[in-house]
Amino acid sequence: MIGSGAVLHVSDNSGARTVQCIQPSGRAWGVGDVITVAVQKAIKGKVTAGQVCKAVITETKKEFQRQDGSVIKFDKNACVLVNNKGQPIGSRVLGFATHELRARQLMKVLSLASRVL
Amino acid sequence: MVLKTTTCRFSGLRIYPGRGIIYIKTDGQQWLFINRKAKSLFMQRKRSAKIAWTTVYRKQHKKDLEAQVARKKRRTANRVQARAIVGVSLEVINKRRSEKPEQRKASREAALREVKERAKKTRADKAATKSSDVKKGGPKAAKVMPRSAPKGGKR
Repeated sequence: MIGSGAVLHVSDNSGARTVQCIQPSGRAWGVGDVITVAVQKAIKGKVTAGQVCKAVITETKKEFQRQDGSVIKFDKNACVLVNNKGQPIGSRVLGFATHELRARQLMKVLSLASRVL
Repeated sequence: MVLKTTTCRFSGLRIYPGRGIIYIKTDGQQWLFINRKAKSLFMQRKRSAKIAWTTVYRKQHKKDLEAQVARKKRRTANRVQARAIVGVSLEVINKRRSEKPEQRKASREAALREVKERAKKTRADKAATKSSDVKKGGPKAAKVMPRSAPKGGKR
């Protein structure tokens, strides 16, 4: 449940710490969706504050349901920065990645992630 | 088909497939809840040990022990049960088994006394027949007399 204006943590080593969702909210975005974000806070890295780029949502506070009926919920909203082709900007994914990314052809993000659910 | 179940980390109840909420914390801990009620209580930082319907509470307050104890007792009783052995029926064995040591001793003494009395009686009978023989008198009895007579005299 990520809408326009939502602030997300960045769980990779691209240099961004927090980003703000600036995707026009036709609907609420969830895990696996690629959204447009503006980098709010960044340390020294590949991106700087104020830059606009794409990001894939990896964790949401709002629980989401799988085909088998199980429900997963995280305790923060987090994303991984990607380029227009869906390739991650950073070289590491620090937080969780879920199998929902597999359906969106974001295999590179999945393979970099250390913890896959 | 065997259903693979997990347990709720708050209430301790079984979670069947298709149910339950996985809550993943930032530190990587996974918390499984059976329903929204358990999750909500956990989020409110309630302790499951203080909520009466959880298994933790019931274990602490020894709620489900009775049924378990009863089941155990029955099992042991079955194991000890006696069987009838050659010549001795089950009833007799059970009767003997249920007797108390005092009772057993008493019955034993009674039996002994009876045996003794019987022996005494037979001896007395023998003596009586002998004495009658003596009374009848005869060449044979005369020989026996000197032995038995002094005894009788003393008495």
